[in-house]
Amino acid sequence: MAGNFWQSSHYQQWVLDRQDLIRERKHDLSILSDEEYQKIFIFFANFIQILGEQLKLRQQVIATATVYFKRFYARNSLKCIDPLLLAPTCVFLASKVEEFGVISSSRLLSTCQTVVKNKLNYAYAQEFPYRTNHILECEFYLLENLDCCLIVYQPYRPLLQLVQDIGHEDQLLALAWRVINDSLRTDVCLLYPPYQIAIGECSFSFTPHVIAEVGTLGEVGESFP
Amino acid sequence: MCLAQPGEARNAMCSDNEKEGFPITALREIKILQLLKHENVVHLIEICRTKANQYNRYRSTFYLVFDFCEHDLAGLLSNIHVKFSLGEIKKVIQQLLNGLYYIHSNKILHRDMKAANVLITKTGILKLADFGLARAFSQTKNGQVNRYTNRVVTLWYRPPELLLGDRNYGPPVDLWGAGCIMAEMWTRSPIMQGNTEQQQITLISQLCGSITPESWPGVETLDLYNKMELPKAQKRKVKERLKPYVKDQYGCDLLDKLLLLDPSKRFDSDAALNHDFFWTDPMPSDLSKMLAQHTQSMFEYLAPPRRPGHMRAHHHHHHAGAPGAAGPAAGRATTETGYHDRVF
Repeated sequence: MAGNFWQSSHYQQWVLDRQDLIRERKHDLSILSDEEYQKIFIFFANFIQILGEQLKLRQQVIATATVYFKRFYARNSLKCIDPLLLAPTCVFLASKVEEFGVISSSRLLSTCQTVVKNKLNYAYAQEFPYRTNHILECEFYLLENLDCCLIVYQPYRPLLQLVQDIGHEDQLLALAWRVINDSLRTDVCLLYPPYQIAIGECSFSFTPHVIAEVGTLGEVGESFP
Repeated sequence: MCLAQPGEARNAMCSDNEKEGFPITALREIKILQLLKHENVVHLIEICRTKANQYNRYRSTFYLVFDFCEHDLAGLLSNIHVKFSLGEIKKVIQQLLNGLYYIHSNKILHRDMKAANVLITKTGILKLADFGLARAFSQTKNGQVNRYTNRVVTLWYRPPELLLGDRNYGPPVDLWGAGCIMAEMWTRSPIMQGNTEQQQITLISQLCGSITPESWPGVETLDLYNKMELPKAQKRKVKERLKPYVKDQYGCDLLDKLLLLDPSKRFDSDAALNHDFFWTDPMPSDLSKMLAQHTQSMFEYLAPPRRPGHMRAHHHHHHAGAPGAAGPAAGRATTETGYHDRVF
């Protein structure tokens, strides 16, 4: 997206402090352990990723949806809106904002149903319980809680530049790209600006340990272009 | 979506009966206008919403709150009592181009240039509005081709490359619209009022000359080049036909450079702003004095009907110009093809 990151809502409102997160999560963390809380977010980040892949979305859309999801719960307790409903809503909104074209709500719903049934059946015994009107209503709450800050800057673009400057393009880019996808399962997208994440991922990708383990880098989809 | 115009510059939207959820045009407007801050671009002050309660069935309404502008250009032009001097016309077009220069350098395409989307405050400041069709664009590199939709821009202001199905377009689409609007400053009504895409391209050919690979290298690669009927052996008559209205030679020349068929040769906003038109006497002059004589707001939607209601609809009869609404350009001629060409 065009524009200046330093003047954006992303930089001005949505680079959060770790203390903020701890304060906002206090309620949830009185019920869940820190580890359980993080696992829930990994689970739903995976859900968004799978949804996005099934809908053949670009990684940029998936990343934006995931950031919306995290921003919402950075200000709200998990009990405010069922994350199982918020996740597809984030995908729905992100596909519009990123100009991917509107996903028809029936297609989104049927994808949710199949994904929950086939891939998440270890967690959900019943069917995906929500309908179109739930998603549309949830979209309003989402927009409101995002303060209508819709543009999310992602680390992918600064990464491309960095890798070009460093050289070793093919290997490093593929690797760092996947590490960025993985980083969506953590809090870094709330805590640091994207260019910093890109640098971090780059240097991270250089460690021999990571290069050795590249094959087992989690559930990341093959979304590299 | 309910669109409210309650006397104040607010756009309202609520979630009722929206199949696609929050309207994408509103989302575009929000994300793009949050990015753009310029004197000649409408300013989104804030977004507010009503509280959800049992009376609105727990559905809140979002309002986009903009700076208030008293007039729009279409409304002003449809009122014969509003007279622009040459210097004032220059000021309007200069501000229009300044706005375009700013949004284009921020990599945004407006994609819906028309007089009704150009707002003017009572102090004479022009603001580009309605970013519901706008989008970000990227410079293509290493052979990559953009695939944007070409179903944008109100038909009368739609440039030839879009009519021919181009999907890899850029800022020149907005400058074509700027050219149409500039001509309208003198003709007082849109210069090319086609009812269909085919008719629009015919009108363009009659004004700007035949569309051929000679006048526009590469046009033959556009999707619809062979599918549309392109009038042959038309001479370019932009200056000749606009001269009686525009009179000023620099104005004619700038129009000629903006209404160029080949988008790669069409002036960009920077080149247009450097044109002699803006740097010769009479220099661009402030509009506030002239506008101070008019105390009533003038918007297109408030003006008496004088145009076919919907440009994409296939109206075959133009509304008769209501008294006072039709400018000097309204002498209509019916051509053999059965449509009206009000300008020439």
